[in-house]
Amino acid sequence: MDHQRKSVPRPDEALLASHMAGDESAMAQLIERHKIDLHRFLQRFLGSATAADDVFQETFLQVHLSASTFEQSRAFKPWLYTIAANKARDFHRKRRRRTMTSLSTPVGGDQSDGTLIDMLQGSPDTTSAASESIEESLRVKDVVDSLPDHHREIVLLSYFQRMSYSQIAETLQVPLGTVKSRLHAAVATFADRYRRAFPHSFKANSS
Amino acid sequence: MTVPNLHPSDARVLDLLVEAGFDPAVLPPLNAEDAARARALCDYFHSLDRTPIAEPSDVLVEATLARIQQADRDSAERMKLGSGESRGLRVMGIGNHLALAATVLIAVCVAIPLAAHSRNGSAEALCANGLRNLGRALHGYSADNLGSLPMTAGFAGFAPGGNADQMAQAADGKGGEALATLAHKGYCTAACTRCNGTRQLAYRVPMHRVQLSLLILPGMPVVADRNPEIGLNPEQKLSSSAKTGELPRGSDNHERRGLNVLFNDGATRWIIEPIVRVRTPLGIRDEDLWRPRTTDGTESLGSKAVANDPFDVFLVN
Repeated sequence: MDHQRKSVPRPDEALLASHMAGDESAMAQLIERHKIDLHRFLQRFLGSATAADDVFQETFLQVHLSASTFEQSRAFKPWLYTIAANKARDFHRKRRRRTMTSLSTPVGGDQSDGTLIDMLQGSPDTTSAASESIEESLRVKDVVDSLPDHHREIVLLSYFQRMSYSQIAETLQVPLGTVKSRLHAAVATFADRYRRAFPHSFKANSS
Repeated sequence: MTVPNLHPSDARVLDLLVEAGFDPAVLPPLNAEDAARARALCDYFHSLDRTPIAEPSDVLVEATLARIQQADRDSAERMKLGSGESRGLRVMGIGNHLALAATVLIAVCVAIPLAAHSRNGSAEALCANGLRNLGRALHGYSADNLGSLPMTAGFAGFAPGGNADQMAQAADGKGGEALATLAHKGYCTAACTRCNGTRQLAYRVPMHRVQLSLLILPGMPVVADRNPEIGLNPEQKLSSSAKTGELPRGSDNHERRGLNVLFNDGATRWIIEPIVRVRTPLGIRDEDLWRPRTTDGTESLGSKAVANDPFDVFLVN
């Protein structure tokens, strides 16, 4: 019976409660469970795997320190991502203060007329061999990295974490309307910069 | 510069996509135009899948748990300092004394095997913390010196194709001198330039006539624990090689268990072997921090070094 109980994965909230009760393996299970997804989120947010390692550790340290304030009626995952996003923003702020110049490339945004369909007459060409190259994937990364923090985090949470608007609002602790308007602005900016980064694919398709 | 706006029709379809978790099967029925909008939006989002992603390191879970344990120890230490004298001692009976003695005995029996492990974890966490401080000092120095880092006088002028072993030996000690510059100029304390305040650190060798800068190569290792291969004489190298088939791979600073590495974006990472995956304009490659790149394309001490490879990450003490 005990064996059967162990084979069923315990919910995150139960693991956190066990950790607070002194179960040493509970935190390890929580970390292991969220390792891949959270690390990828942080990597995409921060643009660096090593920075993601650092902020990942900071995040779970904060989970440990703030476990007593966690409301059991809430879901653990949005709470975890709230902490992670805050830590990532702090990391960004400190890093910006330390470096003299931004590594992101400023991109103009004065040609934003038309709908996405107009802009996407040549939508990203996923079939060409060039699109598979490392260089191109790095350019996509540069476009993502060039988005402001509050836009990038919302794109990552909606697309990679498949969070609904209400979950994103809970995670980022901002009103639902703000989440929507930020994502709309983020997608418009991303599309605009993407088009500038890959002008050839658009020219080819629109001709 | 104006901020681009999303067309209301696109925004409406985007809202549907988000609520459907980007799963076309869950979307409500769309007319042809909206379906085209949904496809166009999905194409943009799918392009994000192409951003390069590295897998988390194997020791990430252990490193995170070690950091939590360290925070607990620090907290317990602070509590100990804050209690005691101010509260005064309570009167305890003989029963309480016996119970306390038994508890202490049991705790000691359990704790002794764990003590060495936790001591190591603590030393590693302290070292990583010191490296983070050193990273701040390097960024401060860089900000005041047009983006460049302290030069390691004497080995920026190595001619290409020199002997890597001689180059390493000649550079040995210069890395520490360059880091000491940070303390001399007031960017950090002297203890900050050493692992846990006492042990040498290894610093990146700038390549031939290339000024070392924090800005040119994001995510590159800059400082790490002491390079154990430099300073070994040929006999030691031979004997080490004959006994184990390998030269030391972990730093002496941590009894060869591994090493802490500081990257130029300010992050630190604990690794078991000195191999770090770095992104260069020429592609992604694995760098051996203990050894310079040589003319035959490998990384080793004792062969011909390519002293002008700007993407080689080679750390000397």
